[in-house]
Amino acid sequence: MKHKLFVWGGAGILLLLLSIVLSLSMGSAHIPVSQVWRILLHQLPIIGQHIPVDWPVSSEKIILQVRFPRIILGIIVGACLSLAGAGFQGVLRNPLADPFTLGVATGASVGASFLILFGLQFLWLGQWTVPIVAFLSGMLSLLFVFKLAGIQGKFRVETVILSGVVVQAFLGSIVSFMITLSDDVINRIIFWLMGSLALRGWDFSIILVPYFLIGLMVLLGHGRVLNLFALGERQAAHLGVNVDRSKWIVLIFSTLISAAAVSVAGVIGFVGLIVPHLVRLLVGSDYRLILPLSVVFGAIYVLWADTIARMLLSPQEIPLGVITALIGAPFFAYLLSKNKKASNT
Amino acid sequence: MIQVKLVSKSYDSSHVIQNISFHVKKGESFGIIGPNGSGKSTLLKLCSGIEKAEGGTIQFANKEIHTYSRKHLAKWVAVLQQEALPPVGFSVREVVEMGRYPYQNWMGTEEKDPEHLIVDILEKLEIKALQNRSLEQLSGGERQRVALGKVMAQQPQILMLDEPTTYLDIGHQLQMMEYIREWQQQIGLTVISVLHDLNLAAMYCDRLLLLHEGRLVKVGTAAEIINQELISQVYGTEPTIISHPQLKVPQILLNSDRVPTTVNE
Repeated sequence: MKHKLFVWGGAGILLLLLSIVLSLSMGSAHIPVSQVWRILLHQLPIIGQHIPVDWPVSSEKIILQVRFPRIILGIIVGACLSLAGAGFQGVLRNPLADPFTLGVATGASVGASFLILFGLQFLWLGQWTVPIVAFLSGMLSLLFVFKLAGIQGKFRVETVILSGVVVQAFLGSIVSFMITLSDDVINRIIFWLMGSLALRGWDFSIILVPYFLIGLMVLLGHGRVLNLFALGERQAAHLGVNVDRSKWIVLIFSTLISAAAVSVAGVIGFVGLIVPHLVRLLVGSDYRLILPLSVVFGAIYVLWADTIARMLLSPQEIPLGVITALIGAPFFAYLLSKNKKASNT
Repeated sequence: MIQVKLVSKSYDSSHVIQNISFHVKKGESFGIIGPNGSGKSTLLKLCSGIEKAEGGTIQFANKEIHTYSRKHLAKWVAVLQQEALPPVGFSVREVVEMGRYPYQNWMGTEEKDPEHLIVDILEKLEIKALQNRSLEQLSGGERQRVALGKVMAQQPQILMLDEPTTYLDIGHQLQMMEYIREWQQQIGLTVISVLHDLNLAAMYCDRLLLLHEGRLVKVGTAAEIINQELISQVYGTEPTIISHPQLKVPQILLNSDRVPTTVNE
């Protein structure tokens, strides 16, 4: 287990670092990779002093003030969404569960759109208002989904996704309704909804980081419990797991990090569904591996999706959610058919 | 060891278990038998603490079972279920190691390395050669042995069996019961089992508890419980009861109204 985590985790982190540097060099103003390396190293203490400045100031500004914050935000958003997906899939024992199929993301976007519509984004708690309201409305929709799927307080795993899709459609129409209600802010809600990392400075990363770290610690601590859940809830209870408590902790913290990601970057689909699935194909069913590796690979996935989003029709931006779905859906179909073939032979 | 006093349980106003009392001594093998729907499995769920009884008390070592934390309880009681393990992608060894969960800290490590214990169990149950195989690739009998290995790794004082031999053929049934008996004799384990098969129950249990419609009919040795009168009263069928030629315990032969057809020569 540790060996596998070391190998895959190491490979993932290397790939992530490489992707950051490559993505930093890409954009309307081309900056060579070697220069990106030197600009980055120059920022480090001690080593930085030994690197002579041989690049134009504009390059440094573009890298550090425009591209870098955006890339970091993409990384954290990707990590949040795929970690949340892995958490939902583990606790519901359903590979189709993710923040979107469960209606959590749309629920969170109802709360956030409401604030944007009435211009209340900074009321009460300043910059923390949107994530908290998004979390509450996301949590409410999750509870509603369970209520719909549930029988006598215990929900049936099979019907959860079905209820999720219904609730998501309903909440989606509420968001659309809010968009039609107001003409002057229409573009802001729509563009935010489609998912974008453009023009989001360091502030957004700073809002997201505490949510991500708390969620990360709690969920990584539940890896073994999710493994026991895979054997069935009764088995887990007999092995000493407090089933109901663990289930709700994982659900609440997965909702928290998805809502935080949605509130800063809008609805970015397919990340929470595909990344844990891909990781599972690589390393097997052990959640002690799936959870941390989903964080790394989710970060890489969104980083590249966002790079494509800003490069493809440059200088025009494509909404990030469009790219993740455009790559994600066919990739998911490929995984499914490959899985089917593997289990048939 | 286990003291059950006047325990009841009902689901949606239908009484599944009513005022049942019994006790089980340390090292004893105690069987719970009864027809379908008599409340056997429910009684076991109450005893293992997974469901809460409505009235009465259940105590382990003179301490009320609901005062134990879930994790602490798992060090006391392990349960082997009918459908032991779903076909998930874990290896045999990983599943056996899951039995150590109640002893692990939040990092997933233990004070004492359980490696030796795990290897011992894998060897004893003859699943060491399969240790890196995934559960999906195992037969039903092998999977049930892995489930037993996981339960052994839990090192409980009390083992509860919920019809663990239901899906096994007679060879594997016997093998399973023998593994459990050997384990029981080695460490003085207390075993409470719900068994469907009355012949197995008579062979492997020191005492039996007969349940009928949620009520206790009688507690006693196999010879006291498995007799013509009680069995026909509770199960509604008239079996022939003979004594096992080797083990001297009652065994049941089923009868049929059908007249045997004779083949003309």
